[in-house]
Amino acid sequence: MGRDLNAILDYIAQLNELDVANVQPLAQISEVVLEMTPDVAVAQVGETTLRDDTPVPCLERAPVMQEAPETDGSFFKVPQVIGR
Amino acid sequence: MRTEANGTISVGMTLQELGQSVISGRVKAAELVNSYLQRIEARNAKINAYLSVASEDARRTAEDLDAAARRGDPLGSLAGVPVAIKDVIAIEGMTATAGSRILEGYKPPYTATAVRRLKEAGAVVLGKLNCDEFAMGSSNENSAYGVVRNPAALDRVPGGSSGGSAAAVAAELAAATLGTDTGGSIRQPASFCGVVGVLPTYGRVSRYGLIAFASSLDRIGPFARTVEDAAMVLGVIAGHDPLDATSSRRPVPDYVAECHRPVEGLRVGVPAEYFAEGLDQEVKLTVQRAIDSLRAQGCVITPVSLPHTRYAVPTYYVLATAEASANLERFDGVRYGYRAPEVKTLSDMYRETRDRGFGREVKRRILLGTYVLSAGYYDAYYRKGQQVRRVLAEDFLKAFEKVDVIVTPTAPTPAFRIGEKTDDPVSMYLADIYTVTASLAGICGISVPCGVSSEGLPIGAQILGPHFCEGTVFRAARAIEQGQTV
Repeated sequence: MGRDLNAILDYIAQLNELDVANVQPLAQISEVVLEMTPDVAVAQVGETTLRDDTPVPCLERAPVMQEAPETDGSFFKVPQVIGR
Repeated sequence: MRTEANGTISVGMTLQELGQSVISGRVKAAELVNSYLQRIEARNAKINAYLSVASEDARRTAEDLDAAARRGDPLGSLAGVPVAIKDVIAIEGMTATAGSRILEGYKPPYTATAVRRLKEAGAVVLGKLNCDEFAMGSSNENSAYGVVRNPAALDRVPGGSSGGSAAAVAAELAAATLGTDTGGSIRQPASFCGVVGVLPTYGRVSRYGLIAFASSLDRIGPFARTVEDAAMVLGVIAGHDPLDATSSRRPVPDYVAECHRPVEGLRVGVPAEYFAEGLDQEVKLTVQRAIDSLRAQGCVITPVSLPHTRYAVPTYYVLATAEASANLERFDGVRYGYRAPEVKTLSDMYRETRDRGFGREVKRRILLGTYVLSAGYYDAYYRKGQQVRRVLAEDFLKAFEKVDVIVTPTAPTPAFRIGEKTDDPVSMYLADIYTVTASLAGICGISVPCGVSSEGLPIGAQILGPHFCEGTVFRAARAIEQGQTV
């Protein structure tokens, strides 16, 4: 594992050849898609506008708890947290 | 209607014709589904494309569709079409292992939007498909449930990570499938197996219900035997979804109509960087012939430059592993999936669960991801990766000022042998050298079969288009497909 990780880091080191000091980092492509490819119809509503902050139904507890490794039906149970 | 010797009713019909035939009652969905289930029964043991088969559900759904067709009820455009889904995509009541021991037996309590849309259009889900663990891999050898074999040559890999999705279509174990692509995981296996695979623009298809690997890169897309069929499926699964905040509100065009438009006058860019050292000579010549056929059909072929291409794979392995290390924190043995038994404390439980539940490549990527995000190295790796990501996206934007689409090989070689690259992660990562660029830039693309090697191994051409220009990509891909049969 250590040998693999070193080989990968050596390979990644070639990014140091590039001078990108003045380039803004890009975290999410959708933040720039609109300015890259203007579309009037989309510009009016936004590329990915967030929904209104109103509660909507979510998953029922019972089917979610059914998948838990250990549960009392209401909570997830885990092994002892503070050992003695 | 053509019925082939192999018993698959659908061979020779487009998905559109198939759906119409089921609606009109000329083809019975139940017979269609049964013929596919029989093929799965006969061939899956060799290929290992399916991890689970939902025979009963599929038969019942098909019978309901036939009954609805008899009553004359309105049915969707994919009525009775047998499909299968990569096992990183959730379907209520069916297992979703993500190819990992840590999710063995896990049944999600909800259904992915892309699958819900397929079902609403009448498609029948046959089962879930094998893949590299958490979609991390280029050969399907990282699945905890065994490697998928390439139907074109059983000693070869099908590509990855959506190897099961590509192999199932190639072996006619499903009429169409869904896969996911984070760095090439749809296009590269499509190329290796000789089928069509689509990378939609980031935001075109909802990711709701997709088990996350690298959220800023992950996309769901279709595999099919023809470009038209792939266009048909994309049209069904694409569109805005309030359950995915990154899904776009742009209207979805009629992709089937778009793929039939003539290509005359289409400006096709060919980047020298994708035809350089490391490219197999047969792949090079085969893709060049595909470009010649586009020229013969009236396309204008222009050289373009994507000068930072060589930095794409290292950038990808910084950003994708960083995101993966955060996304995979949720697999802790508390809420779902595997929990290591007989452990005394909570921290032992976390450690043992993750140590026994995750495979080697997943651990490698989590470690790399936490390293590049760690305080002392964040700027040198993660921030730098995000900066180079912008430079790579700008390369494409400049190129698309001059051309409508870009054509390249999908992968540097045809399918390699099982075991050939498993000892050297960097050489495995280079199998994605031509596909990671579009993943980082968020643009759309496709891999379309364009020939076979002297050993009979499929070779794919990759067509890339600007954001939300899937229609143009389908048009060029269909021209390459047609150029083959002329």
